[in-house]
Amino acid sequence: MARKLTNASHKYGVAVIATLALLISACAAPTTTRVVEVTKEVVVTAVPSTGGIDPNAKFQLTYLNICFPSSMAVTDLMLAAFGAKYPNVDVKVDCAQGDYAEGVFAQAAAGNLPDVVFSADLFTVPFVNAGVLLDLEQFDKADDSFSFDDIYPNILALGQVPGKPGTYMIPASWDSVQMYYNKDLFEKSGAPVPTDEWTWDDLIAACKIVQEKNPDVYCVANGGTEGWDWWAYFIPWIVGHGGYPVSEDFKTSTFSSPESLAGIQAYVDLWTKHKVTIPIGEQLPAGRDGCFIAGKCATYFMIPGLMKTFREKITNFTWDVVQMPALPKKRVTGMGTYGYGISKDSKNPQAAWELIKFLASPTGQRLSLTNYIGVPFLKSMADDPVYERLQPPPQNIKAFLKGGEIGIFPPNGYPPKCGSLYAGLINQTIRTALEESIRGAKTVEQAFKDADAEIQSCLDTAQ
Amino acid sequence: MATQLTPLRRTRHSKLYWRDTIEGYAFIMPVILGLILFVFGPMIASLYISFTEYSILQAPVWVGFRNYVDMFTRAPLRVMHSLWVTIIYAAASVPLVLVAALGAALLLNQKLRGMRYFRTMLYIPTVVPLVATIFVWGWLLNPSYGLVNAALKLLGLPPGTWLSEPNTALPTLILLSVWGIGGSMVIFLAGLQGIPESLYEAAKIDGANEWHMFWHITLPQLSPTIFFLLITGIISAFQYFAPAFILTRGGPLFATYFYNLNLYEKAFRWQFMGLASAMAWLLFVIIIALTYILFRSSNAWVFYEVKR
Amino acid sequence: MTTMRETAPAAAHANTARYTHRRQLRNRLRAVLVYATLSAIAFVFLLPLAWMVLTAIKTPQEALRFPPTIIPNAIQLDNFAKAWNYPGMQFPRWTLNTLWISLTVVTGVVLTSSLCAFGFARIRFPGRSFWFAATLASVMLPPQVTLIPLYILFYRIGWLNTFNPLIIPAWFGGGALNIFLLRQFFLNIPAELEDAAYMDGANRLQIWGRIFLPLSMPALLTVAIFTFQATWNDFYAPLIYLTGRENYTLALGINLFNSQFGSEIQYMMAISFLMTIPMIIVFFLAQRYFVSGITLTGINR
Repeated sequence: MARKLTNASHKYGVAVIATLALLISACAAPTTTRVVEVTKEVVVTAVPSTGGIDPNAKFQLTYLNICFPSSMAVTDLMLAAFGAKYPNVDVKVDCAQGDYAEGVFAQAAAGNLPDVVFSADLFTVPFVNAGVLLDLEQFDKADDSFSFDDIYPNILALGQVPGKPGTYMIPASWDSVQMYYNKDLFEKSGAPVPTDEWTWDDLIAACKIVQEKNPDVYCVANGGTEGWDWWAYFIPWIVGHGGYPVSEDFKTSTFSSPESLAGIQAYVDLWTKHKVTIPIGEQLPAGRDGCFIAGKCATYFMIPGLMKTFREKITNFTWDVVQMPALPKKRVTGMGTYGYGISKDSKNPQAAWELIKFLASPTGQRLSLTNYIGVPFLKSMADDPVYERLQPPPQNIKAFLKGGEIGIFPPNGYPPKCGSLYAGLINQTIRTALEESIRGAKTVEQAFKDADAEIQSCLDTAQ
Repeated sequence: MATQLTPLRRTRHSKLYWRDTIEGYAFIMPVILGLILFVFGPMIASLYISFTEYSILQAPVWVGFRNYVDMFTRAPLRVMHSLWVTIIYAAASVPLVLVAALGAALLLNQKLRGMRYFRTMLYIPTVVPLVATIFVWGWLLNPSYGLVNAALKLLGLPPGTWLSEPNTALPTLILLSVWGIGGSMVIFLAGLQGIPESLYEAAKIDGANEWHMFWHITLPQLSPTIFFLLITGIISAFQYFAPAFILTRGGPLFATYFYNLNLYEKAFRWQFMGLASAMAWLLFVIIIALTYILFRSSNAWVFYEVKR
Repeated sequence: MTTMRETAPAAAHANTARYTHRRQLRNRLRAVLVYATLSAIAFVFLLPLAWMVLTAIKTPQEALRFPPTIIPNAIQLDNFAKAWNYPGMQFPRWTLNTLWISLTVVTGVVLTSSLCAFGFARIRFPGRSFWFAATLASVMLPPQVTLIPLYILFYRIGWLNTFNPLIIPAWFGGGALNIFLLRQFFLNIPAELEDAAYMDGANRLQIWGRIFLPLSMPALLTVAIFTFQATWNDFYAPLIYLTGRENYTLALGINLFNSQFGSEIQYMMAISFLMTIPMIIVFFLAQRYFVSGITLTGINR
């Protein structure tokens, strides 16, 4: 077994290999997409009307997007159009994965946010409180080719924080939750076909007929991750019965007021009394959008962005959209948007502004609409000829185009430590109370009295 | 089989002593550096954070022990509940996996043809990408449409509610842990094949039956392997995260709200970095304590071939 | 249970024939039982994989259908090609990335963990127990504890969106469990070999390289294969450190198929299946070494 150990070079072999490998891996230069130093000083002077960046300088922007497979082609299309207008600006798209907010906060902490950041209504308050986004009003004022005044104020408000000046997000679409429905299914079951004038009672009655004739079909399907706990689904029920989750000064939690309870009970009844919706905990293999595509869900409540997918994938039945059915006190639905902001770490804020301005401009909006992923929100586009170019389905696309008129946006002035309707303690408390009610572990009244108590204890200590 | 290093090679402060010291440290230098840079340094930073209120984008604010107190007293944070869930899971799945892996290894250790293929087949689950795995199990366990319930119906057995009911969700995850025994199984196989045949032959001559041989030869010979797998099993059970995160999201009604999932949410969803760091340290302390107990007890039941 | 070797009873026993015959029958019965049990287990274990493959070859419409069809009505074998070339994805590049990362990590792990294991196993020096205990303790550290500080550290030295945060730590001790495993193995290598080499004038590094490494090939292979598989399928570390699309690994890439607004499940399954095949092949070929490599109680001489 003993061997002559005379080969001296062997001793160094390992060390050499180790060093080489270390050097190689350290030098391995995968393409970075960090922002490149601008070759020329960018000076924001008096702004010409077509844009505020020097056409001779080269810029590189990074753009953080949530990349849905179906929308990536459209994003590329829009960026190509942008590139045609600004050939000196090179845009690299990063796809956000996993928990979006978490990723953004981590990048913000480390100081390497991309120039343009995808945002949404739920991110505005946390991002702004954390100082992630720049105030866009300075850019707006300096640019007379575009104005925030052209944007409907309640959509623009989603990029603002109550009590704080400034606008931090340019919207990308005017999203309100309306009802997609499977026309053939309603007709073949002998049920009335939904219209823009329906109430929820109408829908529940029709649903019962549809479900009786088709035992394996679910009538009411909500989109989203779980499909029952998104604020846009159940807060409107509270408002539609005359209640509200919280007092105006955000100091008192009012889920257990009589009107709020009535609304919540009506919402929970969809599961427990009428049984017209997907049982809680039922994990449909392809999601609820897959359910609708497969013709196993008679309706689908979601924002306009699904139109593209449905147009591509639904081949064997007719579908359309109508407005959200009305509740006893009013017709109301949840409204939101996603959009873009400029990060605090951007080295080319002006070029970034040009990009997001393009995406929000009529050109960008038309691209978005004709690809069925968004709805324009500019006042100046109210009667734009592009609407005539739209082809059904959906026939009744005006349900989305006018949908924001019945929309409300969520109360988002809770003290940050208590979280919000989207995340944190308040979100968890509400979700738990809802789940307990739907599963029958507690009555609605008991569950939300407890929820109020829990939220109240946080509100009291946070002031 | 006992071996000893040659005695009396070293005296204090002899040349050999210093040479050993220098060379010893030279050899373990990579791990020392790694520990300092990537483990201890960040650990100290996180210990500091655990005494602060830190939302990652504002400067940390010192709050003393408040995070630790809140962990134990504020029920909505569900720290104690998630700890309990994790303990139940560990207590049930670690022995289950060990027994199952040992059973599979015993089966595979037969000198029959085609064992290579079976071994591979049982090992495959461990190499499938996690995201896909979790998706697939979500489908298979669907109470209405999943294959599992369909098969049960075919066999005339009642369908299960699996992951959709609070009472059955955690037991389902525990059962599911058996699917990943491939790694432990392979380690047991190695252990089994390392047991000298001579021991069994001698026992047979003495008239031992199979059960005797298993209990008095196989198991003791495997005890170092069992010890190793027990420790690693407990450690990874306490870090269980992905299936809870992707499949059940802690539900239904917090039935599968594992400690690590809770920690992740507190850190990244609620932005309670200080609290999350405190939770991480609690977990760390618990694991250290458990491991210490196991190590101490190992003197009683783990049997090593070579004296250390 | 180890196979019982026939110890022949005294020759010319009257009952030998019947005795042997009964024994053969028992062995055959046992073999049947073993095969049956293993087949049943294998079926259950492979079911998800089968499901994955079946989904991978479905059309997009059928993949979303429920109750799900088991055998697809229409088979789309070009799903694999379509997934591979899906617009916006960069699977060829991602495969190279994943391969590069996995190979460098494995090299680092094998080298440094064997070096450290050797030091812990074979050299007596003050503070050895302390550092070994520290190494073991680091295994029990929940990764979340160090996540944010590490992220900030890597940013400060400019390593974000590079492969370095994934590779470099592997070269610094390469995983405490591997050190533990190899140390166990090294402890059982007889000292006589070492002493003989000393007398021949070898230094420690040569002993490590010329004696211990070759003798522990099976254990090293085990470490290598386990590490390779873990790195190949790793999702969360690349998720955090690799932000640019062209730097993604395969595991990250397939997750892009999963989204709220149009999942393409059949493509995800297709690529997952392709990702799994190399791992299966590696394991199948190497299992001979694999299994004998983890032997903790001694080596064959």
